[in-house]
Amino acid sequence: MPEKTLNKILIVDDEEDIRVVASMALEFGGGFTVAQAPNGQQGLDQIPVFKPDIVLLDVMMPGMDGPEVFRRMKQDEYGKTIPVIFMTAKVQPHEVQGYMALGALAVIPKPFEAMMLASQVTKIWKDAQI
Amino acid sequence: MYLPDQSSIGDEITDGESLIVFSDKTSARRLITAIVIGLVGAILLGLATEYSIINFNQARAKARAARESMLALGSFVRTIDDAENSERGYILSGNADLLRNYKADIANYPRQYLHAAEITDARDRPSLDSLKAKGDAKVAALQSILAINQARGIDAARASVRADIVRNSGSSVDSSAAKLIFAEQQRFDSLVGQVNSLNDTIVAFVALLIVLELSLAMYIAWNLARDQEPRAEAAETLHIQNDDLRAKWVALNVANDQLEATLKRFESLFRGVPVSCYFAGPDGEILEWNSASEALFGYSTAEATRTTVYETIVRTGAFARTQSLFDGVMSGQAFENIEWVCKTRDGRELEVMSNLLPLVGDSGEPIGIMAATIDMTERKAVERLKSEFVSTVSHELRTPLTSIRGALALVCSGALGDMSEQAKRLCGIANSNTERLVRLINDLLDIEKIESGGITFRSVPFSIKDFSRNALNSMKGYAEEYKVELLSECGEDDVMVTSDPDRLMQVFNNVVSNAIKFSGEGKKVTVRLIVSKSSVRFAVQDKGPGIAEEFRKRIFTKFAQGDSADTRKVGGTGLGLSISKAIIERLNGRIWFESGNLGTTFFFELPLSTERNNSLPVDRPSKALICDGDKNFVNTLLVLLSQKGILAHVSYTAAHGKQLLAQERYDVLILDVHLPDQDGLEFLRDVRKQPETEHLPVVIVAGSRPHELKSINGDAIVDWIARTPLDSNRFIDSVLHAVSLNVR
Repeated sequence: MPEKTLNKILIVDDEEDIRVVASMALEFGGGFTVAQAPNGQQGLDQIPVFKPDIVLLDVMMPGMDGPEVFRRMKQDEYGKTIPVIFMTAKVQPHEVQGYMALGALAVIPKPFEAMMLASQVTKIWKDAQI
Repeated sequence: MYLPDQSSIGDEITDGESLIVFSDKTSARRLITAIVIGLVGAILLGLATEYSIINFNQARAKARAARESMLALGSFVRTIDDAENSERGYILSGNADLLRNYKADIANYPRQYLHAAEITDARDRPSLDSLKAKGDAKVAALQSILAINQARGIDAARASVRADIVRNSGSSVDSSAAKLIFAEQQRFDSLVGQVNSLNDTIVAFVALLIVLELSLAMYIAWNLARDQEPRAEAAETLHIQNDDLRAKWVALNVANDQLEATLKRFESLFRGVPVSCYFAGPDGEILEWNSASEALFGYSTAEATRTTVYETIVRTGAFARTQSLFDGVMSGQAFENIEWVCKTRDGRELEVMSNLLPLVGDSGEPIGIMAATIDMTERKAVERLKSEFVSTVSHELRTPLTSIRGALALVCSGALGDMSEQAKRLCGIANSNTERLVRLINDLLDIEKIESGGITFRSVPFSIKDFSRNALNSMKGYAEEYKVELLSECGEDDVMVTSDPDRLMQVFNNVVSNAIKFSGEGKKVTVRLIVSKSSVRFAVQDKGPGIAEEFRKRIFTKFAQGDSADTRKVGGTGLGLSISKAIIERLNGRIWFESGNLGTTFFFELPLSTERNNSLPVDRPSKALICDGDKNFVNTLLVLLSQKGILAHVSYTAAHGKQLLAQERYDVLILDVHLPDQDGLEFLRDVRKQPETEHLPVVIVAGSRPHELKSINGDAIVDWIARTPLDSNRFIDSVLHAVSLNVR
């Protein structure tokens, strides 16, 4: 698999404040192009349009929750090629095991460290490329 | 409480009785002989006396007859004399009264004769007849005078009378009568003599009898007196024994009263305590059942005591576990805080917690089971609610914190443009307090999970030396930050500890970071590792100000922080030590401290794995699957496992074993290599292919160890034990070790 540069990141989270902080952290920290979606459906809608390299997905969202969004992505021919990082406060061991069992690339616990977020995501991306 | 030995009392009574019987034997024989002699003598004397009395009575009757005969003869003679005198008087005076007297006497005298004849001795009959003849002659003479008077007149009669007087015609009657009377008198005198002599004989016999009986009485008295000495001794012995018995009896009574009082107290406690308590026999038969049990399970005491725990409160499917627990209790083990599900009379399932203790008999052996049970349904519900609440709250807190923390970090970093120094300082304050809030929420969630048991502790073997090196390295940066020198005195001792290294690291970090924080710049913190046979212990010593006296007692409680400017300055959540304590206790270890003016030393230690094996965590009973074709051998294994509270299922074939492994999760597989339907190692290979049982620890109980073990994940084979003879200690140790390896 030829090495691909990480450029576009889609953040799906129902909390606007978190979306803003995370976007700024990624833009300032890593110079990424960031798109935001306030719920699962809009996130799914944006994927074929925005064509993100990676998706940061919240778990607890009204309506469609993170794991459901993930399952639907995996049912889509294009969506299933895009790696997903869960970003959540629900990080008890069995919960983390659950996300990994679904096929998540990694889990970043909330509250995340804003100044480290860009490098964290980059590292996960690079590890997955090898 | 004094309780005399009852058997010894019985012995003494028997001794006393035999002593008395022994002393009586010879004297009784002598006494019986004397009494027999006395009785025979008395009977003979009595017979002789009786004979004499009969003779005496006969003689006395004869004497009385002789006397009466004498009186009758006198009276006969006097009547004839009176008749003569009356006639003479009449003839001489002519007085008619005298004639009447004469006639009366004449009419009377034959009757008197007949009376005298009746009572006079037969031997005197001829004399009496002659007396009668003489009397008749006299009467005839008197009649003739009267005839003369009538025929020849009074004068002729008078002349006859005179002539008769001259002839003394009446004297012949008197002399005959006198002879007879004399003879009777003589007989009478002789009879009186006989009576007197008989009287003397009787008196002599009676005197003899009295003398004999007196002698006998004296002999008996003498004999009794002679026996008095041993009797006195026996009496003395008896007296002592009696006193002793009485004292023992009194002591027994007192003890009995005390026992009864104690029994009553315990009975009222048993009846009144608001905890279900029951006593059961070895086979689960219910012997006692208190009111709280009635309320909890719905069975009345009368219903419960007619049946067994299996038929009442044990849920279908929990028989085997209950039985293995009861077997464990009957082998002397006590089980505390066992959580299980029972059923009630109306079929409801009940989450309960029980303590099961052996009921020990006189011989010290368990004779039954005492169970105390409390209802956990409500507590469990509250725990679940609390757990959910804490989890939800911390999530809800984290969401806004995520934004605050992220935003602050971005602003503080200066990435968004330069700030004034004052703004930077305020930003820093906000940032550090946000961090503190994050730690607080993490700690809160952590302690809640540890306390509720919602966290799984691993149990893996690791080197304590490697652990302490890593732990010290991880704290170096922190120590440098506080300008504290972190020293290690861990030495070269090493041992393998089976525990949760991550959680132990959390405790280490908490304790060491506290020591660093409270030491102050330039001070030293020393970490020592002490390895002993039974435990590994860390000692973390600081040279800080020491812990305030009033704070020491509550240092391990939540949110406990020394209330001073210093402690506030160092920050922290106030949960570190209570988390550490909760973790160490879950790892079966302990944590404590010593503090003074020159600093504080915190200790925490873990028992070594060999010790831990002896006490299994009881929150979930360990489950073993025995796959073995030999039923007798399986029974032996079942007994050994039940003694350790391990629940075991049995499959006698490989096919059934696979079926059970697919249905249930086991902590250990106990396997024979020769199964009736499949080779044991082939079976094990099949088992290893299943993801659920890929790493299942296995204890093989068979002959020699084969070479191909490595190919079937030999790492998870804990031991290979010979069947005959089975080393039961090694078997149990291996099974317990296997159970501890399996992630619980």
